[in-house]
Amino acid sequence: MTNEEAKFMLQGYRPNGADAENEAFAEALAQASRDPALSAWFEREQEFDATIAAKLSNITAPAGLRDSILAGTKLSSAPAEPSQSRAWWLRPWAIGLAAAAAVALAFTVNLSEPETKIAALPGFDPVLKVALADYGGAHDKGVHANDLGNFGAWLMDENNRLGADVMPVNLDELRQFGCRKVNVAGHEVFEVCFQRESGWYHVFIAPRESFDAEAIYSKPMFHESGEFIAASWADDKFAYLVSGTTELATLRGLL
Amino acid sequence: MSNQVFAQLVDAHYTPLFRFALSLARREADACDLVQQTFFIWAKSGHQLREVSKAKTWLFTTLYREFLRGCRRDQRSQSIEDLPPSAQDMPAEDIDHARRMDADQVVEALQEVDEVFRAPLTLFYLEDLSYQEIAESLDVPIGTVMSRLSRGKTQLRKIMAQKEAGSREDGEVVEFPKTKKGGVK
Repeated sequence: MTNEEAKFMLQGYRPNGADAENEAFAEALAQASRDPALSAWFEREQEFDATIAAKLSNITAPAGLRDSILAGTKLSSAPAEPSQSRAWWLRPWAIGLAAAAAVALAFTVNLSEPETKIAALPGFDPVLKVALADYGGAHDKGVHANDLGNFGAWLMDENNRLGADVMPVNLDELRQFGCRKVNVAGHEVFEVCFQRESGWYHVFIAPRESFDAEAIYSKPMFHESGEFIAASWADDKFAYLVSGTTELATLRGLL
Repeated sequence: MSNQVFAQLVDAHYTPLFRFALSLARREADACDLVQQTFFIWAKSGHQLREVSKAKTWLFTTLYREFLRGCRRDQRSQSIEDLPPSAQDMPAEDIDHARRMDADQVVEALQEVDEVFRAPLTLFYLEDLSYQEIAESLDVPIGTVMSRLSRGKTQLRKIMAQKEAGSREDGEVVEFPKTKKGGVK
């Protein structure tokens, strides 16, 4: 990548840091960190962009616009119910099939192009993609955590914390009753769905040895994409990822 | 329940949508109409959207389409887009120009940027959407968005510099160059 190409890329980098996790910028950012001239240019560009963005954020909508939208829409038509309130796996089969195809594609991409990471969850990208596909409606109908006996009850107990406590994971039980088993890069990963007061969650469990020891952490690492949120961590035996659509603080509370 | 969700959607997005609309439409009343129309369309057909997480992109897309429906793209914008990207580096004064301007002046400058560049540029400065999402919202390729951002920024800087120079001519006190004796030349 030449400096001109890096500049072309970096001028699209938002000054509020929202693109920090966007892998598309990684090469250009790395180049800027090595080249003082490019780094100085990028600093000025970001300063200019931050100044304009800050000015624009001072523009307020006219008083009454919000009420006008709500009242006007109420007069014209009743707002439609968004489909998001439904559980992921209760969505139409057509979406599930499409998302399943997306999962297959995601794995293909991940296995053939490991640099196309989508999140800062070390070692967990393939599992994260499954979780994201679930969020998009890929989860099959089937057995859920309340059919998992002790483990399901443990997960649904509001007093139990997934990260702080030792989860009573039994692989044989998971093979028999888990909501879903997916094959990620040749390794078994089990998914269990459970509900707490704050909403539905999906926990993914895999033997720790399935992952590069240096790529997983005992301390939870978080990923957020819009309303989708996930955390991953590991203990001595297993690596875990839990996903949901709750707030970051709520997810932290679960751990 | 659905009214409550709709109100939450309005609360989350009507201000950035208004800012975007204002940069496009230039008049506050027209901007309000665009925002109102966008939410009206959501109320009518938003249920077709499977993922609520996509609502933000959908709203910006719809507002932009409504704007385009109301006006014709002019030929000049198209010809400007065909020019090669500017390789000029930003002079340090540009940052000072931007700092000295207030929010209304910045919006005025944005409104003078050619429409084809204005839409991606404003979306970029709203900071709500990544460049990939901007491409999706405007239904153009990612490379085109980056190219338009580059050219749009160049235009914006020129406009801001011209405004700054104009405001000086319009009445700012400028010190005259003095002769060696200390008088005015």
